[in-house]
Amino acid sequence: MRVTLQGIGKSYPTQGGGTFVALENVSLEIREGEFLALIGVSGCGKSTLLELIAGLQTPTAGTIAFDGIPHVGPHPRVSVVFQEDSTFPWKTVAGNIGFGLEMRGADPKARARRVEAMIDLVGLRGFEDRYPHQLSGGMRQRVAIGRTLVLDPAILLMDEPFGALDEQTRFLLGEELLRIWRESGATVVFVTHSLHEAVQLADRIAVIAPRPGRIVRIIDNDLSRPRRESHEAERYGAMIEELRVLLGLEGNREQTRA
Amino acid sequence: MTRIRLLSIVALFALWEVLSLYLGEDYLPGPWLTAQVIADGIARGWLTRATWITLGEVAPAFAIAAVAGLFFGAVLGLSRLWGEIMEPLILGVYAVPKVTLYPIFLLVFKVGAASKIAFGMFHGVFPVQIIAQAAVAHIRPVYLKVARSLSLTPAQTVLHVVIPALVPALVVGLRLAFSLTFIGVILAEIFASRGGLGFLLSAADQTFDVKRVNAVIVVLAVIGVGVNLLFNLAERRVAPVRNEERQATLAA
Amino acid sequence: MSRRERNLVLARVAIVVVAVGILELLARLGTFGPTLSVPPSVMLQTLMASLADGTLVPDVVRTAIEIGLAYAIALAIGLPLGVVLWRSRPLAIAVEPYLLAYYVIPLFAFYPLFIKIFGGGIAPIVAIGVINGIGAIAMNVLVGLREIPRVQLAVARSLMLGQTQTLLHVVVPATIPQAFVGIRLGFIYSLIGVIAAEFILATAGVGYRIAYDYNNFESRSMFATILLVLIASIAANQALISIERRLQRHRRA
Repeated sequence: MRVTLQGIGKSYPTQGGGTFVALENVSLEIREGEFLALIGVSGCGKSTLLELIAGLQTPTAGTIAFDGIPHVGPHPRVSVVFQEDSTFPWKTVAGNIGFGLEMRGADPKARARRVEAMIDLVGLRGFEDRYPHQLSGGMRQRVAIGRTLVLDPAILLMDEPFGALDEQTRFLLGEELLRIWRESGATVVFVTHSLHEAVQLADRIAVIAPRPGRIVRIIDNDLSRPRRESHEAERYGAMIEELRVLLGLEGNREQTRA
Repeated sequence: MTRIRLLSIVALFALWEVLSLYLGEDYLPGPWLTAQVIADGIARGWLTRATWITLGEVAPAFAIAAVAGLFFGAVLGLSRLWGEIMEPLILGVYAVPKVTLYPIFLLVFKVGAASKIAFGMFHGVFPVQIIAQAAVAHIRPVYLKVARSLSLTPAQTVLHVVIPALVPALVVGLRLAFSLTFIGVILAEIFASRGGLGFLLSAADQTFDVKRVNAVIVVLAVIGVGVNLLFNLAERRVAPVRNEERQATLAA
Repeated sequence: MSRRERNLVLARVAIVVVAVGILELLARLGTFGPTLSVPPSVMLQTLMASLADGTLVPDVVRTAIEIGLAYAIALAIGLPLGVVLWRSRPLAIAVEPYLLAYYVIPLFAFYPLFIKIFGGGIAPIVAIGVINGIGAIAMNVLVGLREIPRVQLAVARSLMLGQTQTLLHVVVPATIPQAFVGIRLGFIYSLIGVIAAEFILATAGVGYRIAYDYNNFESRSMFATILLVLIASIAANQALISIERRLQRHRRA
C-alpha cells in the first residue's frame, strides 16, 4: 500500500496562549513495499509524523491518503510498534501476539495457527507461555512486533522500536526485521535517531529538521544488502557523513547539541 | 528464606511465652493457655458466634466500600480536573481519626448492625478510591495507543485493555480496604454494641478476663493476616511482576 | 503558584464553603432531628467558648503531649528499625511478613495488655500511638533505602568516601523523600492511634471528650470537639504534605 502525505502540518496551542508548530508543510510519497526511515534529532517531530500516519493524532493541515484514498483515524491495514514496552503484562507471549486477531474476532483455530507461525517468525519458539516480565527487553519488542505483524499489515509503522535496547541487540533485531520485512512484503516506516540504524535498514532516508519539523532531504540508499560498514566502507561513510551534516551534527555543533 | 521465616514464627511464640512467664499467666496468658481458651470458645460457641457477627458486618461494609471506592475512583481518575480538585480534600479526610466521627453514625443509624456496617464502609472506602483514581489516571498511555491503533471499540478497550491494566492496583486497594473496614467494624463494636469480636474484647477487658482478651486478639490477628495473605496470593496471580516492583506496595 | 494551581485551590475552597454552607442551612432548618442539627457556626462558637473558659484545655494539652511523646518514640524506634532491616537481609526476611501484616490487625486491641505492662495514666495510650506510627515509618525508610540507585553507592565507593561520608552525603539525601512519606504518615498514624485509643478506652483527652459527650447527649460540645479534631488533623497533614512536596521537588523526572 502506498501512502501520500500532502502538505501535512501539526501545531498545538501552548500554555502561554501561543502556538507550537510541530510539523510544517510535510509532503511525502511512501512507496509500496519500501523501507523508509525517518531520521532527526530529539523533538524534531518525527514521532509526531508517525502518529499522524497511524491516525493516533489528527493533522491540523493537509491530508493523508492510502492508495490515493484520503483517510482520517487509525487504518485497519496500518499497524504500529512503539518505542516503550507495549506488551500487556497480563497476557502470555502467545496471548499478546494473538491479541489483535482476538479483538478482530478471528476464528480461534485460524488464530492459533497464525500465532504459531508468528512465534517462529519473530524467533520466540519455546517462550510462547512466558509472561513479558520473564523476558528481556529485546524479546518484549519481538512480541510487540509479532503482535502487529500477525495482523498482516500493509504498512508497518515503527517508532524507534529498538531505542531502549543495547547496541548488539539493536543490530541483530534490525537484521531480523529486514528478513521479516522481505518475507511479509509490508511497507515499513521506521523512526530513528541513529545514523547507523537508518543506513543499515532503509531504502530511503527522510531527514527531518526541527522547529518547525520539516523534511529537508530524502536520501536514496542503494548500498547492497547485507550492509556492513566494512563492505562499501567509502560509500557507507559518505552517507553517514551526509546525514551528519544534514542533521547539523558536524564539528563543534555536535557538542552544543549533545 | 523459608527457614528464617519459620524461625521468626518460633521466635514470636517464644517471646510471647517468655513475656507471659515474666508477667504471670494472670496478666498475660501464654500461647498454650490461649489456645485452650480458643478451643473452649469454639466448643461452647461464644467465640464462633462473635466471629460470625463481626464477619457478617464486615462483608457488606467491604462490598459497599469496594463498589463505591471503585466507582468514585474511576470517575475522578477519568476527569483530570475533578481528580486534581478533589484529591487533596479526600487525602485530608483520610488523615482524620475517623473513629471520632462514629458517634455521628450512631446518631444516624442507631446502635445495631447498620451503624457498624456504615462506619466500617466509611473507614475502608478511602484506599480503594485513592488507589483506583491514581490507577485510572496513570494507566500507561502506550496501552491506550495500542488499543487505538488496533481500532478497538470503546467496550473492547475498557474490557480488554483498561480493566486488566488496572487489576493489580485494584487488588492492592481492595486489600487495604478490607483491613480498614475490618478495623473500623471492630472499633465500632468496641465502642457501642451487643455482639461481635469487638464487643467480646471490651466486655472481657471490663471483667478483667485477660484469657478471653488474648483469645480475641489472636482471632483478630488470624482473620486480618489470613485475608491479607489471600489478597497477596491474588496479587501474585493477577500481577506476575518482579519482587522489586511489589516492594512499592509495601509502603502503601 | 501558577494560575492553574491557584484556580484549583479556589475550587477546593469553594467546594468546602458550599458544603459547610449547605450543612449550616440544613442544620438551622432542623433537618437531621434535634441531636444532629448542630450548625457548623454553633460548633465553632461552642469550641471557641470551651477553649476560652478552659474546660477543654486540659484535654487538649494532654492529647497533644500524648501525640508528641508517641510520635517521638515512634521515630526513635522506627527510623533505626528501617535502617537495621536494610542492613540485615536475614532480619528483613524474618520481619517483612509482619510488616506487611502490620496494619491488618486492630492494634488498639493490645490496650488491655499495655495497661498490664505500663500501668494507668498516659503510658498505654502513648504505647498505642507508638505502635501505630512505627510501622509506616520503618516501612518507608526501608523502601527508601532499598530504592537508592546502585550507581549512587558505586559513585561513593569510587570516590572512596568513608562510611560516615557515604551515609551523610549519599544515603541520607537519596532516602529523604521516601523516608519523609513515612515520617509524615507516622505522625498521622500516631495521632489517629492516640485519639482513637482515647475515644474507645481512656478517661481523659480529646478523644475521650467526644465519647463522653456522646454518652451524655451533649451533642453541641461533642460536635465542637469533633470539629477541633478535624481541623487539627487536616492542618497537620496539610503542613506535612507541603514539606514533602518541597523535598520531592527535584525528583520529578
